[in-house]
Amino acid sequence: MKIKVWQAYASNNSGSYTIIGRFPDAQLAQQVACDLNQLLEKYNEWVFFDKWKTEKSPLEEFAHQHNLHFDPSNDEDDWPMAFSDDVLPEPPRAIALRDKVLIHHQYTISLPAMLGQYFYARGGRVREEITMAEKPLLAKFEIVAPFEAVRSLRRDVDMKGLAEELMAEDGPLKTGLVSQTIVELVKTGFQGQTIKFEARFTDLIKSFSKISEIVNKYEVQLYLRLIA
Amino acid sequence: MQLVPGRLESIEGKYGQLRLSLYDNNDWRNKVKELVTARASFGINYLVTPERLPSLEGTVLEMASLGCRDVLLLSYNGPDLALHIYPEQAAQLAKRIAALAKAMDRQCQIKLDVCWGTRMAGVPRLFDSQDCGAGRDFMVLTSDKKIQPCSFHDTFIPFENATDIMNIWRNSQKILGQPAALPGCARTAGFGLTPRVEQTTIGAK
Repeated sequence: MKIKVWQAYASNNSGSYTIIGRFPDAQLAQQVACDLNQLLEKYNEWVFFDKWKTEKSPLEEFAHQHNLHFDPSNDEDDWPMAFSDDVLPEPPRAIALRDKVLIHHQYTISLPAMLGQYFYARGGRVREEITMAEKPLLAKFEIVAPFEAVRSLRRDVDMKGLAEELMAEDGPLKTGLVSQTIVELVKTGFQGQTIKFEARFTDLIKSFSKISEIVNKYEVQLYLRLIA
Repeated sequence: MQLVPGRLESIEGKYGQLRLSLYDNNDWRNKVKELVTARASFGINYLVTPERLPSLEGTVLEMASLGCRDVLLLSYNGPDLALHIYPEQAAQLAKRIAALAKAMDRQCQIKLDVCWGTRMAGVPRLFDSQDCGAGRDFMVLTSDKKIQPCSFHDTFIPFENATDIMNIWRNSQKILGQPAALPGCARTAGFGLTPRVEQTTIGAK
């Protein structure tokens, strides 16, 4: 028997785009996500409603304001396409997950490179850019409550409560899922207490918002890896 | 992968084949020219929808005239019923494709997606099998270590290593041989397409 293995790389067929940045602290990341969402919404409307006929590009204005390089002729920049002339497409969304900021859209070849520049301008750095992912991304989460001192668990962090919130009936690990695997649910390891899970979500931003809301209530560290 | 200037040169010799999907808005004519100029190994994926039926031959001839030597005609798999080719349209389409392939002989290969199934019964094919072979002749391995019979399938079987893959392939043929839930699957009776209103009207006449 002969077995052939092909490794396929997704094209622009229904591909998603994601860029992840990391910042010195969660507060800054939150602020960056908030600023970006305003920009993304404004630019989306500028494109869809043909405001370019009369108004300057919000991206250009933003670039000027933050001293970023704006190149409207960059071939690698793209923006989500409208499927109908009557319906404003969903803009890309930014979300802060602790010290990380993600910008994501389910169906676009890429987004303006300037967004990554903005991460650097605010003291962060681009950690990853995933383009043209054909299937929902696999998100690998690791939530850690580190030891307070050598082998001394932090009693003030209710990891069991955190796990229960994640796993609640309307929680992010029970709804809006394509697939989900719980790797570890509150286990004590060499780092401290950990919760590990991996999932593909139907709406990444919606599920990440829920996870962020829950995790922000606890004093834990959050590690995230996204795989196309 | 986005075909931006310099990309083709940077991946030269590092890939098997590029497939260019043809859309009305992706400037495909210029992309074909770029691929031909770069002597890239490529083919075009063309989704055949009812809207595209009238211009099929013209479009394929244009692809060939631009230098394309490989056209894959795809059927649609998905919930939008307006994009499906229904069996009675398909019978007519099969005759046209057979004629087109004959006319394009040695100039451009016309390939058919396995999901067409028996809808393309009138076209001479390489393998004369009634089944698409998903899960038996080929399988899809996803990045989160799951096996799918094909990329449109709703069945996901977890695996850890190559031994698991072989065991699943050997022992789970019943599951892997099931039709996909998406309309358009060649394994589903009637391809999972709800009969159209016109069909009912014709039947009632």
